[in-house]
Amino acid sequence: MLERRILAPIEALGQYVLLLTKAFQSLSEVRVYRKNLFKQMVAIGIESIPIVALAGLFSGAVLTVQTAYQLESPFIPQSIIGSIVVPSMVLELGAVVTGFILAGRVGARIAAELGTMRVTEQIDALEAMGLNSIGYLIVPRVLAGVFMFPVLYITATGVGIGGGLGVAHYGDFLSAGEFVAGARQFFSPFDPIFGLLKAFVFGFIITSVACYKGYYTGGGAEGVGRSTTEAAVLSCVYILFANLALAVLIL
Amino acid sequence: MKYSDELKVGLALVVAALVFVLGLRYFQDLPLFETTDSYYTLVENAAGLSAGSAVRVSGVPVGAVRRIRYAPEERQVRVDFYVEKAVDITEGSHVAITGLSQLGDVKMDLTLGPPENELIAQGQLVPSREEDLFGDLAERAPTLFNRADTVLVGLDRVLGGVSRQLDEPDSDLRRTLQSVEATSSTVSRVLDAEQQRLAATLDSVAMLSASLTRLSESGEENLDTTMADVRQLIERLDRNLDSVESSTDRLDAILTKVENGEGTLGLLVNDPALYHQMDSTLTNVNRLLEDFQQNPRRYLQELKLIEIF
Repeated sequence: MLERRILAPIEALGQYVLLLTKAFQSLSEVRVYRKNLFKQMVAIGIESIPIVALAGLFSGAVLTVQTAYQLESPFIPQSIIGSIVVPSMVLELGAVVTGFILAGRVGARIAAELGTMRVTEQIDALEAMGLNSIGYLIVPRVLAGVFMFPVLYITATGVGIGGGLGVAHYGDFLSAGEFVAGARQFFSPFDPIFGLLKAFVFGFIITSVACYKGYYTGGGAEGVGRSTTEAAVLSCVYILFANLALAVLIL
Repeated sequence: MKYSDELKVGLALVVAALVFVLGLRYFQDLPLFETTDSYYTLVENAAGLSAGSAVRVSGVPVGAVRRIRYAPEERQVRVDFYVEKAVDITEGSHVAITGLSQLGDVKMDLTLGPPENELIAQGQLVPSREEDLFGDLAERAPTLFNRADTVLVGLDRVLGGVSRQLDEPDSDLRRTLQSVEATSSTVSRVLDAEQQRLAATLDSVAMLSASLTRLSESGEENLDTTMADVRQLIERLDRNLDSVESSTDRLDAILTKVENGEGTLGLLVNDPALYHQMDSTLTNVNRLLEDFQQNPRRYLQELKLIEIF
């Protein structure tokens, strides 16, 4: 029993890696399922733009207001608010907020889709027809995540900085010029590149975990529900771990 | 109208890439659409400077720092930066890191060389100069303030002491001032009393100077004759010197002749024949005299007078 408990996560890891290996092996079949890839890119990427932009807008605005609240000191120039908000959005919030939102929106969706196909034996039907189910179902979704997450990150960060700037300017915290001057003062060109790297990694984590959970669903409708929940929760957890690991390893 | 999935995805990717690049340039304070030239410089200390710091010409941002790293081979800090293409960096340009690192407000000031000089090629070194006057001042300010403070405290104490002394009726300072006052009044009294004698003294001084003037006037004639005599003397001396000079000239001519063997004196000096003749003559005379001594008879036999002996 104890042995089972220790070995189960390791077995799951192996299963996950094997699934991804098979997916990479069928990467060459992407051309065959090109239509499917663009469909997933629209579903995962384009349709997520509004919610991601909204989340970015509000996190930027809130960050500005709260930073202004915390830095109410005559010795600190107001432009420091810009120096804090912009790098925070670029380095951390842009990527992480996007990741969390998409773990719920995209992860759950993929897991539910694939889980239902598994329990209704559609995947078996695909295999029976001679189609490579991994190449047809998983590769387009993971690729869509990896390609579209940077777009969503840029959307969230750009809108977030804009929201912060707008709140700062129209909320009478500091002028837009001061905000930009402060942001430029401590701006490092590597920050947005690091943020982009995070977006790539998060996109891969969310889609691959969701695919794994959905593809190996078992146990009927209840199993689909469990897979969906696990996909969303595990994606979030792995995003947190990956975030820390990237920061420690690269910064 | 229904757009294809491919169009939506492509558009999203293009717009995102554009936003990324422009945002990067915007926050680096670079012109959004113009191209830039890149250069680098070497500095001893880049404290406070960071990637993205502004590069300014005459206080106006024209570029930004791209990268800062320590260059072990030069043992200096290498700062890569870019500048708008419109700014011509000519030979003689230099950069300096300015601003207070404590406030995080560090920039790089670019001073351009004369416009007629050659351009520095892209990617080449723009020399740097140490120009941190303000920073130096900020570093030294605390000690300066401390010193000024101690000086002011000392001054305060001294002034307090003086005012205390002045307030006390029988303090040293007060007594000194009183004695100074007494001395000056004494001097004034003495001057009053001696006024008559001073006037007399000054009168006699005036008389003395007048007689001196008279004396020098009467001596004027004597002085004139003396001067005339001296002048005559000098004239005579001058004439004498002339004749001496002509004598010397003639002597010179004679000596030249003698040297050239002209005239008797010349032959005498230069021709050895006379000497040789005289020498042989004298030798003969000598022999004759010897012979005479030995055989006087031979010569004296004709002299009958001497036969007596």
